[in-house]
Amino acid sequence: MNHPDRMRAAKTTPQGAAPPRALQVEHLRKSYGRADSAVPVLSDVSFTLDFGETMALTGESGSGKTTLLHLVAGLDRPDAGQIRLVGQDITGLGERGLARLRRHRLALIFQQFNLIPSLSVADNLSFHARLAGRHDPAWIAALTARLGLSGLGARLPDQISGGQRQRVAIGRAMALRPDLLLADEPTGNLDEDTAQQVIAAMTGLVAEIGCALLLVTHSERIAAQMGRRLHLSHGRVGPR
Amino acid sequence: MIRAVLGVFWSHWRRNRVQLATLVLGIALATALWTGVQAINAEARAGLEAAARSAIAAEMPRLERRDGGEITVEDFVALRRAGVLVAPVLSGPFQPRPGTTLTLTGIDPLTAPAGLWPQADATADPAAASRIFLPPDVAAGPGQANHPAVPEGQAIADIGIAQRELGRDGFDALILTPPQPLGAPDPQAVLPGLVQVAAAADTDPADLTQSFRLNLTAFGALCFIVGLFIVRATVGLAMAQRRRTVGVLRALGVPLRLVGALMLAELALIAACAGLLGVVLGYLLATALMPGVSLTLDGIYGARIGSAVALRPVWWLGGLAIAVLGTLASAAGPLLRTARGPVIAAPARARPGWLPVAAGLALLALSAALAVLGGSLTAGFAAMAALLLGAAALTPSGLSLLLRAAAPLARGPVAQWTLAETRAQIPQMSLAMTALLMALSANIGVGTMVDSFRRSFSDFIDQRLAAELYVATPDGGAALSALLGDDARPLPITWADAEIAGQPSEIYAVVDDPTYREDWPLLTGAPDAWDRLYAGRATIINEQLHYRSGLGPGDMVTLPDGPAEIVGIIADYGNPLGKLLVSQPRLDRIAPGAVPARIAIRTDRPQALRDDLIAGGIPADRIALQAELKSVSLRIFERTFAVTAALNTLTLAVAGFAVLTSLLTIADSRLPRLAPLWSMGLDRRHLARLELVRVTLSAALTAMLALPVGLALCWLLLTVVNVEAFGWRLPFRADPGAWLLLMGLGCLAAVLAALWPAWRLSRISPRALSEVQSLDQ
Amino acid sequence: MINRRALILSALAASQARAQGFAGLGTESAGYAMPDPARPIRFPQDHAPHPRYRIEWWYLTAPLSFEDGTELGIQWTLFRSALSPEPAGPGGAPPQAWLGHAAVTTADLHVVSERYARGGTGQAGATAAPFAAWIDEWQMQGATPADLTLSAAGPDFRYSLRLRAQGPLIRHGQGGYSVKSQAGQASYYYSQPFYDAAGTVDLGDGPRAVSGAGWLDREWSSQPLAEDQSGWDWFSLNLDDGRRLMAFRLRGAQDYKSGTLIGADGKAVPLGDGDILLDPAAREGGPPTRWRLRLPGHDLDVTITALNPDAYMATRIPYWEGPVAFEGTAHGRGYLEMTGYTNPR
Repeated sequence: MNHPDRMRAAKTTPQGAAPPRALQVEHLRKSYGRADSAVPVLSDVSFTLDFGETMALTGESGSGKTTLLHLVAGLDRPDAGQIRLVGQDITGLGERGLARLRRHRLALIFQQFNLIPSLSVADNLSFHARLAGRHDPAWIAALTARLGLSGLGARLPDQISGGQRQRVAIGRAMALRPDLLLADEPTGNLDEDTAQQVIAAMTGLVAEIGCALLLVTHSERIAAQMGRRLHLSHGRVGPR
Repeated sequence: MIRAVLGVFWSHWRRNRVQLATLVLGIALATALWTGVQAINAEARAGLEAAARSAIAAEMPRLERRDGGEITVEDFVALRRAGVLVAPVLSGPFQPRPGTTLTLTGIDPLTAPAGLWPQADATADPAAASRIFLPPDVAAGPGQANHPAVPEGQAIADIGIAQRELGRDGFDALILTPPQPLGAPDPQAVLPGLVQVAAAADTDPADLTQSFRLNLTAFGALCFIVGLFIVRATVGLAMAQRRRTVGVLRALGVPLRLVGALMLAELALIAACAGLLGVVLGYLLATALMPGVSLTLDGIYGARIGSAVALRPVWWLGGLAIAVLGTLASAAGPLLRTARGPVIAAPARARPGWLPVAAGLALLALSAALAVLGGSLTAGFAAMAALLLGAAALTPSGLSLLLRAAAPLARGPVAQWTLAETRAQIPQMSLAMTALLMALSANIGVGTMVDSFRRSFSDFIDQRLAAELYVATPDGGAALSALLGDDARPLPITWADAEIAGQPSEIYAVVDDPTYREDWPLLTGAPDAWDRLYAGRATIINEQLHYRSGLGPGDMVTLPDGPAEIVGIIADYGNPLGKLLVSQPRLDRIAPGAVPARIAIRTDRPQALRDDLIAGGIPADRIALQAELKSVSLRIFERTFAVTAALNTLTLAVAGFAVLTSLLTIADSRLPRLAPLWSMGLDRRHLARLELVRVTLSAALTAMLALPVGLALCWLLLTVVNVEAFGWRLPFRADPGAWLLLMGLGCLAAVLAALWPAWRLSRISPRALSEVQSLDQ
Repeated sequence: MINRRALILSALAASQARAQGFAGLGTESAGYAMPDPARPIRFPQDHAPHPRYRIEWWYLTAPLSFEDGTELGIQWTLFRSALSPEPAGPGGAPPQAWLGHAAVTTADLHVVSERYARGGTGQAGATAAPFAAWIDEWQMQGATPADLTLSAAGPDFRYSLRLRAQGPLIRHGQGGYSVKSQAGQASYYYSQPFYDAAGTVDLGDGPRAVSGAGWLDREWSSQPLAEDQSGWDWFSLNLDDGRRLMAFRLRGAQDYKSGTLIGADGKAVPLGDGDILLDPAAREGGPPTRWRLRLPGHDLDVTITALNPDAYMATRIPYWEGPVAFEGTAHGRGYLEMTGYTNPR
């Protein structure tokens, strides 16, 4: 909410009603461990994210950043609270529903890139989009060029550099044209210059397709490039 | 320090119980395979011996009364006291209970030749002599006992019991028991009323079954290799998994030598326990797979107990040796690698490199060279071993090639991923798949061998027993000829022994009858071979003489009365001697005065003719019906089928376990490779299904590779090993149905093994999947 | 010598033994006749078989020489074993089994044959007058034990001997009642140790003349072994001075030694456990084939050596039996039998 000027309504409902937020998180709680010795990881976290918006998620190690990201991605389930993705409450979805959601609406980028090691760069780039049935060769060609991956298509992930791998991960995510892009320390394994190029490519593409971006980072410099910042401290949204 | 290191080892196993269980079970199963195969082998041997035994009494030269009447106890004693070693036999129909009729044979266990009495040592348990021994499939009542050495349809008892049961006072015949004492008299000089009788028909399966047993032994050796291989795989994995622990211990200053020694000691201990478990398991398996076999532990200290299956020291010691030596040998390599490597090394990345391919190709070349140039039984077995090891070395590369070839067939990203991932995971699956390949190819090889053997033998029996009736004619056939009408064609069987081309041989006369032209196909030979033979100047020889003397069609061979041209070769399975067929007039020249010892009779009414002959005074036991002879001979194979099925089950179970071991071992390393798919929206069940597909695909391709290897093994067994051992070649008989079934079973074993890991994957906590993708919470 | 052949006999007597367990061998002789010290051996009645006793044998050993002086030995044995103390049917005899062993031993050859027969058919048997024992064509026969013919054959040998006694029959122990253990197991045991032997032996190359000495043992009992007795060493020695010595050692928890020293005139002196010193020379892996035997009370100290150390009887129950020679304070030849050792082959 700190940067309303960056808000942009990229998508509207056909009815013309108030457009749903890309992401709406309300009173989210999560703890790990057994009931008697449960360790709270998230306590009453709420925030929203609109289409086209970018948000940095910061906090100390163990503050709950990755847990929050995983909950939003449907990789894990909250103990309480609501997560609405484009208006749909995903906390009630079963495994198949969550899987469908991830297949069609969400894209994730991880610190370890998480490319599919047995597939070539080109196959990795198109993989998610093809899973979702949204394969657009022209768009992938454009992405390949924009991300500087031309000529690497036949290589395997372990035959290219770390920066290239992360750009393949970004390309794979963007090829889907997701509603929400989640990135978990995407530059954590990269040197400063490469990190900067990767962030620039990512924010540029987010702006172009108008999706929302939630990015977990330790880096002040990268956090500063996001439209907003959500700081977690001991599982709560708090001041830095 | 030792205690501290042991503590670390122990805690490793405590925390990785599945790993420990896999190691123990892997070693145990390899051992079980070995002991189980040995037990089954022995059972097959006992079964074959039982089948052969039914023929012993009929096969040995025996004395009968010239008039066909009963031989008295006084006759028997007179011969024995004159120094002729004879043993009385008596047989007749016997009903152990209403509705079941067996042929009861009475034997004197004290004088009978070895092998006739079911127990190896009749004197060890004289109380048994008061019982009637029945085959395992007939329920024994009071005074009766089952014994695995009694052939189906037969019963055996002490001669006194048999006389009582059959209501007889004398004996049917006296068997001449070799060896006779030095200077023993001619029995006919002792008792002029007796006549020496040859067997009614010569279908002794002993030589054939020897060949079969040799092949089973070869299979046992293959199982030994497969067993060692599986131990190697299991231990290799266990060592790899502990490399980090070793590294940490060394970093903490524990000398490598100490770690290595303790690790070896620990592994030896585990191997010994697992090996013992395996021995027991093998026996349980063997008993479960071969019902009706009474395994006894009597032989455990090496005592011989004859044909009964016993837990012989060579088996259980062999099993333990596989377990312990296999384990230590397998552990040595990884230990050395650990010793040479840095203190903390990254896990080695296994990729099919050029070295195994080169080694594999070299082994295959060696195998081919041994098969073609070897010229000895040892070379034949070495060729089989080289073939199997070569194929094993090439399996990963072969799978990789097949998967690459299949890549364009994939439609859609998931299919594409599955193929790519299967190929990428070959190094991790290669041990399991190689085990599967070895098991499957051994099964295909031996299965085909058994089937070829059975069909060839069955054909051969048809051919060799073409006539409907066989009559032993100690008098040369004079009495018989008078009894035959126009509707029966007698084919006298007359032969003379001779040494031909340096080989001990038999020269047989064949009369000009369509039987020979129609039912005795030539392996090779001129179309007019039979005409030329009957013309008197030519001869047809058996395969044995052909291989041993190097003589073939077109060559001249010297017979006692002059040269003859070889015009054809016939199959003569199981005969240790050379055989030459000549015309009747020619044999009369070679051996003047030779009379037929048997006469084969072609007739449309065998049963009726038999009754006529008996009514005409020919003793019943000198007449053999073709149909009965055939059924006795072919009964052997009922056993062999059971044996083959049991062996298939065993080896495939072990291969399946190797697959399971591999899958469980790599289960943790699978997660990072599956997690991206999961985060892109494939649910866990879908992932589990894909894993199953991946294993099935690997197994199916492995089965495709196993087929040619198995057929090559079979070819080596039939045309190299058998020829070297016995002098005749078993023709190869293709059985694609059986191959497909075996390949299917191999895949099924792999899929069954993959079910549990897949089920575990479908139940894995999503957190585990998400955690592998991020380091932080 | 009950015990020395008991193991061999167990092959035939085992039906009862198995049913009762081996521990029963010494005690469970119910129904069989037992030796009685008050009833000494009587001739000629006791030349006949004793079917009421469980086991019995006719045992003849002969150290011989070919005409060229080459030494050899022959063995001829017939065992009788009752399968039951009771007749099989009314008026019948107790069922019997018979076992024959024959062997020829030279310095480098040891050939053995074995025969089995059931009783009641005439295939094997024995009578007192004439004195005869036979199985198949093997035969020992004479009007009395004083003059016998003996023959046997196997696949690789055949022999035929005439044996003439030069001295009296000897009853061992107390009138033939021979004690075999501290616990009192005993047998009836008599010998004819004074035979001159002559005849032919054929080892496959034709019959060749032989001559030498012979020794007949007759023994019967119903109690084979004391529980702790594992085997025995038995000697029959012909001293050059005309004396004969029979000595044995039963190996058990406590060894039991006994024997008879027989003068050239046939006067028998029983030897007790303390009269005999017997020491085997160590031989690896098998029975000892060199011995030192001393009778301190009779100034006898000899070293005994086997003619052929490999004289194993490869019969169903294996043992060692072969000719020996001895030197020391006396010289001569004889026979040695050893049982209960591990056969190294």
